[in-house]
Amino acid sequence: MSTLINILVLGAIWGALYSLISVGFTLIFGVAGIINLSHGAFYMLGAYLAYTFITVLEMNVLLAALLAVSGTAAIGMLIDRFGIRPMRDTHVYVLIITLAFSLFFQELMYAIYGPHGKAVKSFVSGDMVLGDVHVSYQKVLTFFVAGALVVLLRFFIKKTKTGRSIEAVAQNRDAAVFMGIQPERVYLTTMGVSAGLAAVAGVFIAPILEAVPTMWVFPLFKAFAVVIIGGLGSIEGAIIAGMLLGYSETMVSVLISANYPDMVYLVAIILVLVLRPRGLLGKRAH
Amino acid sequence: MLNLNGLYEPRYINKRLLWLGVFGLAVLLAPLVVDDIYYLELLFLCHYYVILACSWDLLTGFTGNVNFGHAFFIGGAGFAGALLNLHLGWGFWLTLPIGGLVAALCGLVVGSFTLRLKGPYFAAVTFCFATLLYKWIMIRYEIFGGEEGLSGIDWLMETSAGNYYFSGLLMLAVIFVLYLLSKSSFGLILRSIGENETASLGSGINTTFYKIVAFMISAFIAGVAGAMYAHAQMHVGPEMAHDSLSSLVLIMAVVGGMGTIIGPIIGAYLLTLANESLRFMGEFRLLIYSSAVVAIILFAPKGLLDIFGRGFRRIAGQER
Repeated sequence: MSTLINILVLGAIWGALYSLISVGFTLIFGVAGIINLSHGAFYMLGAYLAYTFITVLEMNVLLAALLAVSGTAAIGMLIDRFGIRPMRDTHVYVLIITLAFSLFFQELMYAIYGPHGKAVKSFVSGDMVLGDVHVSYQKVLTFFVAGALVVLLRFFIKKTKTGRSIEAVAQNRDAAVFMGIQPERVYLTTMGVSAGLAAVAGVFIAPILEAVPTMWVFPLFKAFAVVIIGGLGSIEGAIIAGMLLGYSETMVSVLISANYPDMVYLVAIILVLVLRPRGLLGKRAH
Repeated sequence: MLNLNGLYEPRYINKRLLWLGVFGLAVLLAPLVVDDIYYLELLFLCHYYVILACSWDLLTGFTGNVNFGHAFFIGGAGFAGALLNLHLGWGFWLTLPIGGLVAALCGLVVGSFTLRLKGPYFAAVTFCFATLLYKWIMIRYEIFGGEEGLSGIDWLMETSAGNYYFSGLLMLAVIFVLYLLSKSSFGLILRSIGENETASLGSGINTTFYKIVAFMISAFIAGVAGAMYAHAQMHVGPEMAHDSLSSLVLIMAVVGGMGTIIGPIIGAYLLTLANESLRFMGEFRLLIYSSAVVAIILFAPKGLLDIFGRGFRRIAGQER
């Protein structure tokens, strides 16, 4: 019984977190058509900025979280403006420059905080008890924040004017230009939103895992896996696939061995790309 | 657009071959000037990275399919060679080619599944295979030695100078083969795939076949280099299959200039030597190093070779 509760609860929490990381990744692909390998670095920056503001500067948690998220969003927009815009249509270049930025931020954090993990104290203390399973309130909070943000993002895209201009560019860039939308401005906004979402995940993960300089690699490729499974550019697909990945990793970890959950997303990427390259909900893959 | 006239102009071929000849002579004569073991070991490392960067360049630089998992071949062949040497006692003259063949076989399997996919998808799959191998090495520590790796492999040559010459000759051979390939119709087809794959398909070229062959050659060379490195260090560790090695090789080729053969040579030498000479900077070494890489990619997206070439032509008065 406790195994079942464990799988249900932990799977939901990790699933929500993966969905949160992946929606930004899929958004910037769907809109600007680029694979942003800095996405994991935004997640890492979120965690490190949270550490800086909360533990080092001892700020109020809410203010610190807002600063960390908006700071990361600003960095994302700077990268888009000065790193990606000059060569946006060259796939190889975008992959390489965003990878180079990730390595740069990794070394920057390494130089400032060293190789060892930096822990942030939990935003809320205590455990929730379900049967004989203990789940920290920090994880519960993470679940609700991630879920709320993913829902809010959908609302933002469908209902607000900025969101609809984002969707317009994603659907047909040329037609959007004729409607008076400036694509470069939309790309910039999208990158800000996408980086901000990754940073939120980073801020909330900092108390659960620790912040380390190499923490950007696996979330990046898990987001890649989620987005490939869900179909590149599909937000609904990313949410469903994120939950799927969360649950399957937890099941493997609880039922088989703690060694294997990291294998799940690697095998998933390979299987999906070999068997069904367009993903679960994606349109035709190129 | 691809300029076919330039490609077959005899003078152009000779000039580039001349440069490679001068470079080869310098490599062979260098131990007469530097006989310090430290520098010989450092130059051995340069040779190793030149082989890796050039082999990576054959697929990615020519056809534009970004390979994010070159460490899959390097580490796979390194461990294959190490296990053959430790358990069966086979010498390096057997483990090097077998390591290469193992890598080429992996290239065939991975490539035939994934090379019909485009850019980012291919990049993701190559990363996954390399990381799977890394995780596998860590989990099956009773075979692969886990974090510590395997030690006690037979040496390559008995002295550093021997290692230097062996790796140097191997590097020159690899560069020469890649040079010939790039001038052949095979290289031309690869370039045409990189320029416009649909047009190549339309000209009746089975592009997937050519990409897989290029991937296999690239994997074979990386595998031989990986096995060579294992023998020279007398040790293999999981870091030979780690994603940081894949991105290091990628960055070297990009900084020098992709798809040019000479570019990756420059990039590999430059970054290996820079990494070593920045050691006095202590913990800021990697920060300076990675900022320089970002700056080079931002301001010279075609690589340093492009910048050098333009500067050279400007001095010679051919271009304003």
